[in-house]
Amino acid sequence: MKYTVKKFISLVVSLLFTSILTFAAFQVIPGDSALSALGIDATEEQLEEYREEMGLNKSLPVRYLNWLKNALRGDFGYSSQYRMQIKVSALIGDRLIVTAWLAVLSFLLIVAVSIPLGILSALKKNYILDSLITLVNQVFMSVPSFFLGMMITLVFGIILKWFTPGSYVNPWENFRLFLRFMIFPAAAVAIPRIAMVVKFLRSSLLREMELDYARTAKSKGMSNIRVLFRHVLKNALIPVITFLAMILADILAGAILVEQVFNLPGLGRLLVSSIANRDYAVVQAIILYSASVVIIINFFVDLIYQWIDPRVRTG
Amino acid sequence: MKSNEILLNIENLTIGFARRRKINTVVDHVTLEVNKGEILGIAGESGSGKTMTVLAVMGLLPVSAKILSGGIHFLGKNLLTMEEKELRRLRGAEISMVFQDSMTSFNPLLTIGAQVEEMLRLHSSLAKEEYRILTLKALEEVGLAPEVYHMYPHQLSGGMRQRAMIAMAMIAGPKLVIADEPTTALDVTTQGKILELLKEMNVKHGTGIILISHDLRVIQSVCDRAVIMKDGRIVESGAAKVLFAHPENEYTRQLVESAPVLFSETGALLKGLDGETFFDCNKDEGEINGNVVQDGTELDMDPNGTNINKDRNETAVCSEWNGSNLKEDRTGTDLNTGPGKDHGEDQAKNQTRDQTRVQNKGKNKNQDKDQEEILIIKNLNVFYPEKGIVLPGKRSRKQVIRNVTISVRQGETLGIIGESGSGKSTLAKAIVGLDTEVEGVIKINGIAAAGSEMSVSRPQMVFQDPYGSLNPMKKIAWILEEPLKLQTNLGKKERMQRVNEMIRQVGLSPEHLERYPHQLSGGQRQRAAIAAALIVNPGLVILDEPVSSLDVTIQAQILCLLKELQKKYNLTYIFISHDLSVTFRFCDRICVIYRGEIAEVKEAGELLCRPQHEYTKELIRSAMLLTA
Repeated sequence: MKYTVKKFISLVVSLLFTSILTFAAFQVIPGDSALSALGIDATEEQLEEYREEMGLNKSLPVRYLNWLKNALRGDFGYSSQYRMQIKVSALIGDRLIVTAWLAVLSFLLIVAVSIPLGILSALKKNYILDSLITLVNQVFMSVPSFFLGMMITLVFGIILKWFTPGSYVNPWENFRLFLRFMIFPAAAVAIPRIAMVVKFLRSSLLREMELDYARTAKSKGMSNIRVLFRHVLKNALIPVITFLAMILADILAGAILVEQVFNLPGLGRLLVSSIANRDYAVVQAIILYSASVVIIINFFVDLIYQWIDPRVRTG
Repeated sequence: MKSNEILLNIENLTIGFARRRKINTVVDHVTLEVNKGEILGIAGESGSGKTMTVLAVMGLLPVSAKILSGGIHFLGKNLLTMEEKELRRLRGAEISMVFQDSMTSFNPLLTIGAQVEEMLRLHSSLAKEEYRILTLKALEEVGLAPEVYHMYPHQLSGGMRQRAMIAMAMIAGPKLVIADEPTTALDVTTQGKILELLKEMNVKHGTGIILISHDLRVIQSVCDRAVIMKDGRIVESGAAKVLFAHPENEYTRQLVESAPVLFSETGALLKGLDGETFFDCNKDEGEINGNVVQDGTELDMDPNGTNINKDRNETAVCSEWNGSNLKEDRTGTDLNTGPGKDHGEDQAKNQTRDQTRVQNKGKNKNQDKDQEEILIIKNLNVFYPEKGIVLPGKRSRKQVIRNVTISVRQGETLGIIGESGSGKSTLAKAIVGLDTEVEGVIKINGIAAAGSEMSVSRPQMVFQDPYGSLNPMKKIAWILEEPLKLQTNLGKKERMQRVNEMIRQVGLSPEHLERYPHQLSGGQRQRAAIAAALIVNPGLVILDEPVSSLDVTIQAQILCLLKELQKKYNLTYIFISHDLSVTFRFCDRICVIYRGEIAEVKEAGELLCRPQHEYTKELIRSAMLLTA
């Protein structure tokens, strides 16, 4: 319990620091937000009025607190690339749904495929099957996601016609079509990462199999498979969980290239276009979101550790 | 108790590792048998093939190891031709194993109860509740409380874990238990208790036990019969008592002699290292600085040297010990006293020795007046920062060393003994300046001649594991040169000259300079580590378990080297060890640390004979248990 409280406090503190850094970074960037909001034709009085209204004349800490207060309510202001007509939160909200689905689907694929494959590969060490898995792994690990996306579009979209390239449907319009389409970009995101996790899990399992406690288990008269599942797997998964968490944080922050290839309206593409249009409010919000995702996922990883490993639990 | 039925029969067993088309034999035509209810000891140094032999019995050899010839029969059944499935049924139920390192040999993620119970589940089919009851009973039998059932391995002490390991090995009622170095990782006080437990199990259940140890005392204390292995072969075997009392093989004799035997059979007398073994290396140099705990035989012997054992140089009788016996400077003539010297000569010699004693008084026993105190520690407290929620202004810390006051004179060897976790290593770290949270005074006097460029520097340390403490990516030459670069202004040429000189001093040759640490043997690595510590010419050297990871014969060599170097460079040693016999043999004064405090500090001999603190008494008692 003490451990959880400690980790929670550290979570809150880290989030606070992230927000300060994100806010500060955008104060350093040159440019006048009043000018960029009203255009170069605005008079000095109009600008002053705007600054007064938006609280831009206040001191730095006050502006930070105002910004944080609004951010906590989900209010990041308006997007300048859409001529201050669309709220940043609404803009991000729509894109986030797409990215989140992409992340969930690809993460499920990664876990569902890589863990059995990793176990199989370790169990069949020195057999043909293991060599085959390792070989395929090597190939997929070195192929970048966007190229894989292009291949998938070519093979499944154009040749096999399993889906129509570019026919993305929003989930709130037709969820089934949305899912059917999303499987393919999710596969493009997942495949190279599956290869990495398989390799990582395999070596972790083989390393643990050599340890003393595995030998003890064998000396009790257990078969290798039983030793692996009952004793070794949980121990071997500990480092793999960290790795999986890193992957999840990575895809939750937006897979820009895959989104581009499959023409998905995800966070990654929004970020790129916002940077290109100097839409600082959106960029700021996305950065805050990405950093928070990493911190929050790490918090959950710590909780999972505590649940798995009694040494963490009881010090 | 002894039926002559043969439990296990190993015949001409040969095991080899195939390496680049060459076969490396690690077990060479080993033949041995274990009778029902018998405890067989297998002794030998690391790499002698003892563990490989028993792993072959369990069918747990590493994949790269191949059985080249021979047979293993358990109750008449050939284990080598047995199906894997059948063999698995045998493992745990009929033959089980107790491993050396109980921390790593238990699964850290499962409770002790689950792991002990698992053994039962694998070999019987009972109701769930029955498993639990039987497991609790097994834990109780080895002296563990029922709470242990729900505890995880890391929550138990080493001794408790080893008990749990024994419970696990015994629970399925095996006929043979193989214990591979079961006490090596434990403190002396616990070692004795674990061995007693094994013996108790043997008597109670009639279980045959194979006990593997590199420590002859362990073998001697519990085994009926023993075999000695060297380089994969059995060099000698026989009843344990006879074997160690009258070793016939040259190697066995060497092993017995270099084994740190502290107590004689009466358990009351000191028994140091044999004069010959320990001082062979010093013979031609004549005088040896005292500190030898002398050899003794019987309790009521005359302290003045009317010795029955004439080939032994001297007798020290504990009950009449007067301090000087042990502290004496021994002269070259002493050493030459061989067998056949008559009584009169002995007495004459004693007289001269008395004179030397007087002469040496200032130099030796009361040297605190004449000799500088090289290290003074006053009211030392050392803390470890404790992990916790850090509140500003308030830091929680744990006190590891409490109010320690001690001083060390130049040229002396101070031993520090205590259980693991008692704070002995922390104390050493504080002296070298590796601990930051220190309160109190630590004064280290410079003793080098002023103006010398090799000015006396900070104290140096030699660690237990030379493999871990020498940078594996650098050659020995670089490792030796580095401290000179950091602490002196010598040029490259002078540095290399000094490196070359130093490497010879520790008994290695300049060709070793071009090697990496892993290309040296354990003993050579420790020599290199000593060279690295001595190269900056420190006055004070801290030896933290310097020989604990070495085989006994190598141990003796390294200790010998240290003594030689001490004399040559007038070094002061602080010697940290959990091994009582080595410490008593090596040190002038001994400081017993118990729970971060000094329990007592005394001259080595006096401490051994008249321990005052309860903890010291217990330490010595349990060390004696091993040889009783």
